[in-house]
Amino acid sequence: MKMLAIICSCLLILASACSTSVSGKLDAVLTNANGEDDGGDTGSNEENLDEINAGKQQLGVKSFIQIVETFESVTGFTRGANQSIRNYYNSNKAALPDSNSIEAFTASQRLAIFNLAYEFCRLPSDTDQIRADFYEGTIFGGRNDEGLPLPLGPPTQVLNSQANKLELINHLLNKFWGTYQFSDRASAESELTSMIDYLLSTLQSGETLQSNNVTKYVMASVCTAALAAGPVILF
Amino acid sequence: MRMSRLLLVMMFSLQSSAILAISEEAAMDQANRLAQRLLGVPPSSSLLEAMKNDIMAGKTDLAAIRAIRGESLGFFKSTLVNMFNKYGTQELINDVELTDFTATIVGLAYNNMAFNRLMYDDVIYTGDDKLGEYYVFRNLGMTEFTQVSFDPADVSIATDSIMISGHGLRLGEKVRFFASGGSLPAPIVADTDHFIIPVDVNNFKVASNLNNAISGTARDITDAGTGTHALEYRQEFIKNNYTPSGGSELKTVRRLNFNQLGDYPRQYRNADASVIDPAANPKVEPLLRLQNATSGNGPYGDIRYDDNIHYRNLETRVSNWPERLQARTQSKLYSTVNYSSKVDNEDIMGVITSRQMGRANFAAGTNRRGLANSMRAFYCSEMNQLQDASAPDVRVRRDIDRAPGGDHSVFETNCRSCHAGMDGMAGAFAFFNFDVSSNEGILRYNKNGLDGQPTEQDFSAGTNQKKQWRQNNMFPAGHLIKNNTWFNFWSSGGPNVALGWRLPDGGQSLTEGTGAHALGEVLANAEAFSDCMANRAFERVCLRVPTPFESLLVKQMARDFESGFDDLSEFGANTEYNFVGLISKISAICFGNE
Repeated sequence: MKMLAIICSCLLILASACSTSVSGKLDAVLTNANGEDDGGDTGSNEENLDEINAGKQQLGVKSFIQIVETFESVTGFTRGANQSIRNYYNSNKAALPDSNSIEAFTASQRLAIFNLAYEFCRLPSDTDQIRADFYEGTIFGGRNDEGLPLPLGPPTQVLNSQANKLELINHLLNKFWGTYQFSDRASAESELTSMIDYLLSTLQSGETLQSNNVTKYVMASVCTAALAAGPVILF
Repeated sequence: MRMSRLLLVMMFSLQSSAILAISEEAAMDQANRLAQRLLGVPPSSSLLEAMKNDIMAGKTDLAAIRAIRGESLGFFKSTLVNMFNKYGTQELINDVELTDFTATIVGLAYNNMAFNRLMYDDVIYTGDDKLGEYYVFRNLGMTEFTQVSFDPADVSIATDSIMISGHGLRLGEKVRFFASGGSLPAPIVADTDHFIIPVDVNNFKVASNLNNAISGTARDITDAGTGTHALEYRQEFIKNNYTPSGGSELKTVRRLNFNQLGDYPRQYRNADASVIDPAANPKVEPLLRLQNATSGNGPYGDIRYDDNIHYRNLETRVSNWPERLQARTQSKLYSTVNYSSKVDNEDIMGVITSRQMGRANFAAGTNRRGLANSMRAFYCSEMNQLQDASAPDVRVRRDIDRAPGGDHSVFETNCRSCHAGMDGMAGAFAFFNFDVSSNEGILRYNKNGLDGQPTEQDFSAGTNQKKQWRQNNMFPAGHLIKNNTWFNFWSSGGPNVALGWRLPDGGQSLTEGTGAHALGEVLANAEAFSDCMANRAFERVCLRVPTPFESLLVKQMARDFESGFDDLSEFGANTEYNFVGLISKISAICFGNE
């Protein structure tokens, strides 16, 4: 649970960072919605937003169904085929955004999105067969000549270099964000790298860098961070 | 003051001239956001690239329709459903499963049908006939564990298909593959269940699970393998040697009543003839709950209409369900016991009389909600925005007090302006009642329900259609509904002339008629319908209300919507009331120029 809490706090930071960098417009909208740095005029926040938004493009947040369908689309895991995802979604969809309005997007909804992303991301970490295909083409997945999943190495083996960390990060970003190199991609790579380093430096009692399970935790964390980020849930 | 269309186009072109200078990264960002706005899910890299090129060429509308008609069904499965879902509920909630209401809206849009048919036509969309085939296991002499061999040369990497001449395999049937002296085509795994997607009599694809097979999602074959391959037939029930009796196989299966165990054919029986319980064995659970509810009700009398199971299963089990929708005759789908067996098509009003909207419109109450909900859903107007104090009150019913609190002026100022117009039209829904007591609820229709005269029983709480007679002694001189005639007082004067009434093609009068279908024709033909759809499209794509200048563009798009978009004919959007064309054009107003 400690690991999960750490991941959660890191992810919230990351999701925020990614959200603001995705188009450069969320900052303005959110800042004004919060009543800060709005130029100090006398109108209400709502009126200011209307004025600012008139004739301009708006940033929106995906609704609950759009979010889960996006997650299904980019991961390949569906509610129909995965009971854990289906159950979680059906029980918690009321906590996800109901409309596309960025102004109605709350912190609790962001947390719910994170939790849903985690349900998707833990599948390949928990099951070797799924991991083999989901991370195919990287040192974190793949199969041998007999079609069996390749074993997963501990952090000292697969997360011991910047190149290995970027292999994991870019594999997930390519899956979730697409291969086009938007300007915010580099900062996301940097933040995710920092998150991996942080997670590896804050192990719980009994966990070591020689444990495959720690690699799985990190994989699920990076996956969740990339999946619940702005470029995936905002449009 | 209204601008000419030419002037509008010129102004829009000037406003959009910035697109000539849009950078590649900005265009890519626009393409990405536009695609996700329309589809709800990320676009593929190839679609993104094509959309970027469209936007850089100043063809944002082309980029939008390319996204909608691209490889994803996201627009139809998610975006379009979410646009209208809540209007099929009294509570205006978004979280609603697929229903006949939303399926029909999607079916019309997906198939490039006139979108205004949803307000009047005798149509409803269901899953197509072929969805029943999954349960029709043929008897072609191939028994369980029969093996058929094929070579790597029979495997097409380009089309992801395998050729076995006269394979006889059908959708969803289970097979396994084995390699002999080499390796199987990648990514097929030996001795593992795969499921068939027939291409033609000689070719088929394979899916990793049954749902994928049904939705047509085939494995991507990347290698033809080596040696000799074998396909082994693994369908458990075929060995029972079932031969369909009479008519087509599909017809036979569609007529199965899965609630009656004695009706199971041999394919659903064990070797000792005991029935395989579908509830205990999901392999024989009907994909779509198709049932011959009542015999003699026409070709489509097999969709149960006191539950939503058909649409629930369609949404959850058929991932490409928008492609699998098929138009039916709505009036033939109704089948009720102890009431008229079928609805007269004069009372069918598109999705307004669907089961789902029937729940919102005709459960309890007085059926006035049928009009109020229609105005909200398809005119973007609440009843209080449609008040007309000049309309005559001759159709205002007996349950409306003409002197609330003893003051007639209260009626004149607060009641009449809504009820005069609303009661005039709502008579069209006279024969409907939504019965919540039957299973998940059924929309009943009783053309004889308003015979006779009001009784004391009808005074407080009528039953069935007589609910429209409740409180009938509140003002006994008021109108008493006896039939399904209606009057439209809004078209001949007063503020609601601005709704833009136009005579329907069939010659239906604007001012009066019989049945909901005729009323629907009048409502669907007014400018207000198109204007509402255009504004709704704008708010969905642009996530805000239009500026005053954009409102003029939106209004013009609404007019173009009525005649079709010839420049989008490549995507079939040149037909009248083409909703996909409309939302694509609307997208160009707020995308592509920043």
